[in-house]
Amino acid sequence: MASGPMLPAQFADWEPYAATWCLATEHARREQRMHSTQAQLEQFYKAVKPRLDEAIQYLNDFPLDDMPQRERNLLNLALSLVEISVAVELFFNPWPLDAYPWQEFSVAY
Amino acid sequence: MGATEQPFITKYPTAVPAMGDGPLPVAPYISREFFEREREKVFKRAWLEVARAEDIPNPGDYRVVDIEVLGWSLILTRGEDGQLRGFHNICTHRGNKVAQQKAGNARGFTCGFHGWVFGNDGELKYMAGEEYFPPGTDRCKLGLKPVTLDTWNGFVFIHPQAEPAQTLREFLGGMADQLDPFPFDRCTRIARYEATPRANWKVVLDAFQEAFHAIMVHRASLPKSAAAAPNPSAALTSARFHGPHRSLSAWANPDYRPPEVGMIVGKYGPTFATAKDQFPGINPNRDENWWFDINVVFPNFFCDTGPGWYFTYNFWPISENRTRWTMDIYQLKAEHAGGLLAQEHTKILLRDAVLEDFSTLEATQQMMETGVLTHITISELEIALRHQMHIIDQWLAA
Repeated sequence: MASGPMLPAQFADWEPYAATWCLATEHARREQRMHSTQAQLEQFYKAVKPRLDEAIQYLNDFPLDDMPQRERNLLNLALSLVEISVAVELFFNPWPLDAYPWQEFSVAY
Repeated sequence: MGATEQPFITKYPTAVPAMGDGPLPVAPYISREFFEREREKVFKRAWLEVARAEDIPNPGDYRVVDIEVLGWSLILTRGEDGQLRGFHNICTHRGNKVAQQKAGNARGFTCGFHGWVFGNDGELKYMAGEEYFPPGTDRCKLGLKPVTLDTWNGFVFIHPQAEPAQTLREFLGGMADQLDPFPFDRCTRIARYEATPRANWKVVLDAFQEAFHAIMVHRASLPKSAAAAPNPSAALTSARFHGPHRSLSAWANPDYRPPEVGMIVGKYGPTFATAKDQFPGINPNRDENWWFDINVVFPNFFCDTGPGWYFTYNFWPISENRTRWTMDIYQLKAEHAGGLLAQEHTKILLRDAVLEDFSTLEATQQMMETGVLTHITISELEIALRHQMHIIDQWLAA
């Protein structure tokens, strides 16, 4: 386990979420979302959303294909926020309630 | 809608075939006998989309494609000459499969039974025990069995017949003309989903070829995005009929505002929820308040298009009440993190909306199988279902 900060210094507030949400694949982000409680999702959402735009503007200066590790982690955390945002904003539940069982819906990437 | 109000009018820029307006029979969705006729008369006679050419980019790359409705396992492989070819995955000696992996890169395929070796051009390169086979056994005639294959805009289609009545381009006809300007070659796959619902392939397909259901099925994910005054029933803005294929344009409520995170990332790139009509090969009728195009390639392939993205569905029948469904989402390469996050929002919203689409399928199949209903009642909003059944009837009669 690497020690020290995972995220760029100006986003140090989000360190408590980094170990859980800096996930590199959609599959991993979806699994984390579906296995979280709604309260955990809301807490993460409330912490990150107010400065999401700032994080995007910060990340836009880095080349997508060659991002330093902390910036890559920040991008993966922002991708996780997008993943869970629909649960908080639309479904009020980790997964859509009137829907096919998500476990039977495979995500390849 | 009040009695004095004019309904929202769907435009039909192409001729609408004479398809009647009666209810549709339930039997085609539940009958094994009907399914067997579809297998023989539709799936064994149609061009079928099976892959993207970029899935098999380099010489030696191959991919195995299983097509349950035909009972086939195919190898799609790119030869050393750069040519993409399709072969049955069967050793010409005793019939074993020659490719055991689902995909890879190989100069050829060695059968695991007795070691016959086929090149990726299909030729039998090494025939173990050759001297023991009867005189006249010709190694040159024992290559892998080819399958008819062609590509259009990078979509790889196979045809079950050695000499199809139509070329792929002839078969696609006006649908190809409409979609040709879309820059498919500049997009890359960013997602693949798969599910195997217990439902007839047309029950699954029908769920995606109308927008009417948005008022109920998508009330959580996309509230009032496709249905609001002056179009409260989510009527299509326009629909086109291209031979057996059809293209439907969905209406977007101009007052729809995506949820907050969608608005933030939507500043940096198009999202599914904030699509605007500025792209080649989409919105062919130049409709106002256009959302996206649902393009149905008969019998079982969708290529839905929007500004900077497209997604495909394949509906593969396994039996009369089991379907393997796949969805692939493709987008232009993101320029920066903001663009990537906008794309991710598109993908997540679409994916979860599709989960909602799936909510009705198995219940519908189960209830249709009770036999309580002999027919389903179809509105103009669902004209695509009528067209699909009309074309299937034609193919079964031919």
